[in-house]
Amino acid sequence: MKGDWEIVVGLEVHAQLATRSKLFSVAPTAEAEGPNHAVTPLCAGLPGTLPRINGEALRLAARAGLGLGCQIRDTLWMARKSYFYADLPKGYQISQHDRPLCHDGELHFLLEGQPQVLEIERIHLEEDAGKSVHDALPGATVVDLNRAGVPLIEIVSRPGLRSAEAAAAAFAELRLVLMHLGVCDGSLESGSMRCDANVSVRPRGETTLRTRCELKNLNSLRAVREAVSFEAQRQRIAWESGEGVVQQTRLWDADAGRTRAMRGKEDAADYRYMPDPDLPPLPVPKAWVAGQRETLPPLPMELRRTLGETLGLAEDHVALLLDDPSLLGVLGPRLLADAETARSLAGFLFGTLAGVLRKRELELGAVLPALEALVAIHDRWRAGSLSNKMLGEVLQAGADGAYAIPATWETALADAGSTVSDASALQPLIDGLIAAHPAEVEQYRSGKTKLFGFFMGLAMRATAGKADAAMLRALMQRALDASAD
Amino acid sequence: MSRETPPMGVLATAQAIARGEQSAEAATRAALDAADAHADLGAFVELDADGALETARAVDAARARGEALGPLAGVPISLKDNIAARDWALSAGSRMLAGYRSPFDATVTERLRAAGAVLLGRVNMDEFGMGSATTTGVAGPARNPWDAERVAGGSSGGSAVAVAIGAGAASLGTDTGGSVRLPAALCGVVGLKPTYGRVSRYGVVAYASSLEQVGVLARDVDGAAAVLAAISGACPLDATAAPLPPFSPRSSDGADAAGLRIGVPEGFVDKARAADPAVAEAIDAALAGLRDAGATLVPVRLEELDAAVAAYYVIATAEASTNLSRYDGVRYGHRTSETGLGLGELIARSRTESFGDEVQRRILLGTFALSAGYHDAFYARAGQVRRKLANAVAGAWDDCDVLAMPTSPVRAWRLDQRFDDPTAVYAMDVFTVLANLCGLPALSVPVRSAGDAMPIGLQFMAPAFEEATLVRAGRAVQAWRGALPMPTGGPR
Amino acid sequence: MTVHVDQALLQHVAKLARIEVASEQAAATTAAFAAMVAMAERLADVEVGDLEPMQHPDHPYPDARADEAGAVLPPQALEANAPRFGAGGFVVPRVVE
Ligand SMILES: [Mg+2]
Ligand SMILES: [Zn+2]
Repeated sequence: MKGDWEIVVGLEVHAQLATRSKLFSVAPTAEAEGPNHAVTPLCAGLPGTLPRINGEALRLAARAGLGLGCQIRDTLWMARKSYFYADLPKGYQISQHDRPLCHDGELHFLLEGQPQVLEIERIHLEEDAGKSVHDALPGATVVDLNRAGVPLIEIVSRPGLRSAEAAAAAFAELRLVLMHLGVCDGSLESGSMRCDANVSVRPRGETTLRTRCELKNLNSLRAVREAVSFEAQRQRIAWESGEGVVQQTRLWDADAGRTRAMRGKEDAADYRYMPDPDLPPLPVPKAWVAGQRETLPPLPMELRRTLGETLGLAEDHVALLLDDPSLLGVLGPRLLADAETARSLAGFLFGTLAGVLRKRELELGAVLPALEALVAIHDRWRAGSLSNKMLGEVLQAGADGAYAIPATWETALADAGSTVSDASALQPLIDGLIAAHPAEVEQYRSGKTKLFGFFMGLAMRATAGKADAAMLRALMQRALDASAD
Repeated sequence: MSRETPPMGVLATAQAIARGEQSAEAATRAALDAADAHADLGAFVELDADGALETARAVDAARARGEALGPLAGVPISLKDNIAARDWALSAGSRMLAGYRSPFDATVTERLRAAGAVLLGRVNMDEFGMGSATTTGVAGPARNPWDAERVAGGSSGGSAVAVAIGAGAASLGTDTGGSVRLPAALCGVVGLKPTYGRVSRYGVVAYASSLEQVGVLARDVDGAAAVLAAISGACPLDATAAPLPPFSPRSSDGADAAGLRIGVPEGFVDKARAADPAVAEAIDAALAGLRDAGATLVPVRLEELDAAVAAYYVIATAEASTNLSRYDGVRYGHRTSETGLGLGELIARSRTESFGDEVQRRILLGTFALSAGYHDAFYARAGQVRRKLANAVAGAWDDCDVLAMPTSPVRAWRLDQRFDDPTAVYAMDVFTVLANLCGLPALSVPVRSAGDAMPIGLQFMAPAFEEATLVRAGRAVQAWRGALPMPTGGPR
Repeated sequence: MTVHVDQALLQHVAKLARIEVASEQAAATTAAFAAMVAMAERLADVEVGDLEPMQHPDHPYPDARADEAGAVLPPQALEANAPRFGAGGFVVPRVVE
């Protein structure tokens, strides 16, 4: 940063836990049919309703903590955080206060290839609020409670980041870690993960922290990088001009490329935290935590070493594999079996297959349900029983068919495997047909070229449809035209 | 009162219906008639005569077909207006909830239905349960059936009056700091507050979540116990409901005072003596009677009783201040008709217009107790005092089976008595809040008054989930006392 | 702790609680509020040492629930109780963020 100023950034990341039902109600978390279609009496805060915590949300939150090396508290304490807002149905959010479930962990990540560590202060469990829609009716805000009560974890880091790039890299890695833990689907577009950043600046060498601003609405890696970068410049200028920085919440406006102070957030909030009297403390037994720790999957930093250093996969292939844990779920054992297979398979998936898909504007994710079938195609090809050309045809056929269904690819492969594409096998058949139908050959020759289809049909029937159509067509053409002279 | 024989209690009604000695419809009509005859006592906010008679006839038809009947089949029971019944209005005594209808049943309502009970209607209460006299609700005051110029006690005053006049064999109330026991005592009926967690709170409009329980008001101890048996037990919708089987009263618990060790906290009765000597005399007489019947009276030291009221009000109002934050005029309930307001103003205006003075005061105290700078000295400290009191009470169980004390330091006061200082009324809860702070079961049983006819209640507290011991002690009081007359005051 | 209760404190608390105290009631409400706070101040007289605040009775409570989705309310049930409902949701004055 210019002028010898240093950026200081800490992250607050909200991640939606991958549960079927909400944190305290049985309302489904899946996309609803319309606004207020996933609302129970509790979600709407109706009088008399009470919360019951979802055990899976607790389990996922604990796994997030374990994956980030946190201490897990032996009791779950839920608290009420009070404030009034149209989309907060109870007038308080059920969250955690001074006793978060997970605390004191570390996020390991890479910045320009160099290993970095960001200290995690805490991870707490909380419910999401509803959604205020400002453009549905003129002059009014419309409240949709489908998201109210959706389970979240809030991950709070210490202010350990020193650049906008580091902030983006840490957020990216955190997303991968949560995805590989199965805690969160990592989708930034759908709002499964939301990032806030606490940003301050100080002259290099200064050891105390200066006033910070909280940046909200950083819903992409690019937004994190650009917003932090903008905000740091803004604050540096504010300090240098003697104007100074006031603590406030600021919204990133991606279109304008700047941050602006949020309205209605200027009051120093008094959330009046209290233990939620509807939710007695819940024991989190040490043995249970140990069991969760033992069943953690390998995480991105380790996977990077295994895939990149041990197996020698290309860097971009490693990145693609890490970006989709379900890919690794299927491929993992095969990739780890031997390095050559791993490299071949990665090349097949991310090169050949991805190329075919890209032409049809498909992503690799679209064919994930059929991944096993695709691996079988790769194996046949690698074993040499499928030529490059045939592989191309199989992939085209599959991609043009119902590509998400394994049977499509299996059929394409079976068809390819049984195609009679051997000219020496087809030629005698064609010769026989011409000899057996002199009248039709005569008519064809005298210009009734439609009869070409008649001969093709006979040949396909004779080979039970297994003849390589292109090859048959060429051979047939040559035979019929040859007999003309 | 014109009736000569007192109306039947829960068990007698259930038995008469099961044996075919009386139809459920007749029992229900009698209850509805009593409610109509004493409408000016303000017990009911709304009767559901059609629904009640329909249920009653269904019970009679089921019996005629020889089907098995539920334990409360045909027994008419009313619900405090803060207990949800599907498609009934639910106001909690507040203008805030005018017009609100609950789309679901409270767990206790569902269980009463399953037991075959006939739901009569909604009974009067203090707004959101915040009161000791049933005078702060939007439906107006409930009046004491022994003297209509006096209070019924609160906040479940409607329940107590309904039971006292025979408009139902029992009523469900809620007890946050004595709200079942206090009106029971002032109106001369039995009030049972179960152990915290014994009964599901799902569907009960929350006042103070860590303190309150649904309780039963009935004519006699066994009636209250039978209703508790029907409504208690684990509930998948309430994280504070104990994962225990329902309460089951045992006949083997006896009615016998012999061998019962009754702890008598020092100074408690004297506190009542200072406020209302008749209360102290009645309690002394009852305890002497129990001792003569074979009980042992054990002196017990429990200090900090005055601090109990302070701890109770700080905790209750802190919890209430957040429990009542949902009433913002956004999704249901009162919204101001004023236009042109921003969201924040709309919320504040709607709340201010529709919450009564006492509710507003308690929200203010609770908000204060949780606010920055005051949280530790008030809310957190109240929790520490609560722990100290609970520890002290826990220590008493080494020496006694129940603790005995007055339910209320005074008999029913006059409706026109003015309390300029709200805390003067809070002092009425001095003996009842202890059970709520500790989460323990407690029972108020009417005892004879030495002076005039206004009723007086003797209160027992027992260890957690020992409601059976309360039933035994209550039966012993009833055996010593004999039958009570019907209320004499009647309507004005 | 002795709290100086005045109208400024009352208005601060009322604002947090979204309760409006009209100026003509402010004196009376402040007096009642002061009495309540004075009662609460008696807590300071109790020796509590470092006792852990009691937030719930020490009773058995159920474990967490299983992650199973269940029935939701039809939106019409929400609309039936709503002061203003439109475009599928609860309608409030326009909020600017
Ligand atoms: Mg935060
Ligand atoms: Zn949060």
